[in-house]
Amino acid sequence: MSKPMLKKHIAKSARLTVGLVAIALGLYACSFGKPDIATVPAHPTFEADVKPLLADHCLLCHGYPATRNAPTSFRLDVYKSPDGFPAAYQEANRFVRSIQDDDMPPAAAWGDGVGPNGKKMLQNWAADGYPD
Amino acid sequence: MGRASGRLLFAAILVSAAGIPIAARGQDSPPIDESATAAKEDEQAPRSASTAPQANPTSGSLPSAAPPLVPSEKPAGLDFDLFGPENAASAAANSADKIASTGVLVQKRRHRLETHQLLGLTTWAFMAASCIVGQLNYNDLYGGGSGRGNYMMPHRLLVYSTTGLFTATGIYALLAPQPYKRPLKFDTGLLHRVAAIGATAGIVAEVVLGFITARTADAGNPSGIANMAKVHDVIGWTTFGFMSVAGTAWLF
Repeated sequence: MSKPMLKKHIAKSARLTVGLVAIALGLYACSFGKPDIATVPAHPTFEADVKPLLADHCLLCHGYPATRNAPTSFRLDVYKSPDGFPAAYQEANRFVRSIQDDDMPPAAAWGDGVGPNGKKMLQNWAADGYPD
Repeated sequence: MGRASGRLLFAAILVSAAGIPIAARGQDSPPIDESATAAKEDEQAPRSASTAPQANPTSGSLPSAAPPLVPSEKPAGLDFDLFGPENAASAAANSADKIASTGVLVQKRRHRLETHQLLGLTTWAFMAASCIVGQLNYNDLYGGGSGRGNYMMPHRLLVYSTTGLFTATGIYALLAPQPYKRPLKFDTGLLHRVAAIGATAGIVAEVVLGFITARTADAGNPSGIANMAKVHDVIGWTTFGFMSVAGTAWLF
């Protein structure tokens, strides 16, 4: 290949690469999670406050039955399971901690986790003893 | 016999005076001595290049008495070189260089397009597998399946491989030199290119949409994820269709 043609191809490839990198960075910067809750209740309950938050961030996988390779050993869609199966109340300490530490949901590491207000609300819920 | 010779001589003189070169009718007649034609050149009208150096061998006397024909090295009136010896030599050298460089480009183009074909067929096979496994994944997660996500990881590995292969295939096509300019017309080559552009657009859309869908799912956000997955599924099969058209156009 002649030098001018090679330079032309390299310039074309460089523009394409820059465009793709720009798209990737733009996508990376976007948020695909649910927005944070507007207000933080002082004394939240599971049915009124925690379950909607779980529906926005967790129940896609941790419902019943569990989906998308999620563990099948518990469910978060109910406070207590009638058959004694581990549910939100039994798992509360663990899932609240994983949310606070940005271990869950998986996209929390990329900035698509539960927002500060949601985390504060879960703290209040834990402080009250995980009420129903 | 004497009268016949006289008539022949007379006819020859007439023909010569009329400017019709007898020798020129034979295209390869050798030029004759300049002295034999010097007297004629003053009288004759300008002639064509092919006839100018020719002279009438019968203009002098009988063939037996004519002076011997001595081929001249440079015919009178044509002592010029249209391009000049240096220009002609350089033009010939340039032409040879051009032919040689074109041959090299043709060889490179052939090598790269053969690699492009091999990669393209491999990409097509991987794309078929990605679509099939992706459809199984969609049915599992959104079509009433178990939802366990057994096809998620195989689908991801296949689409990463397909995207890489597709990129390599495209790069080999883009880097293939084009030694000849081809007029734009509808043929299998144009159909292949149009289908490849469609497949490229489809792949880019699939990467973007697949990334958004996966990221949304990883965020645990259920909003619109089934619709995004459906669009992703449709675009995937459409892209596979473009690839099939591109491959078929190349084949035929």
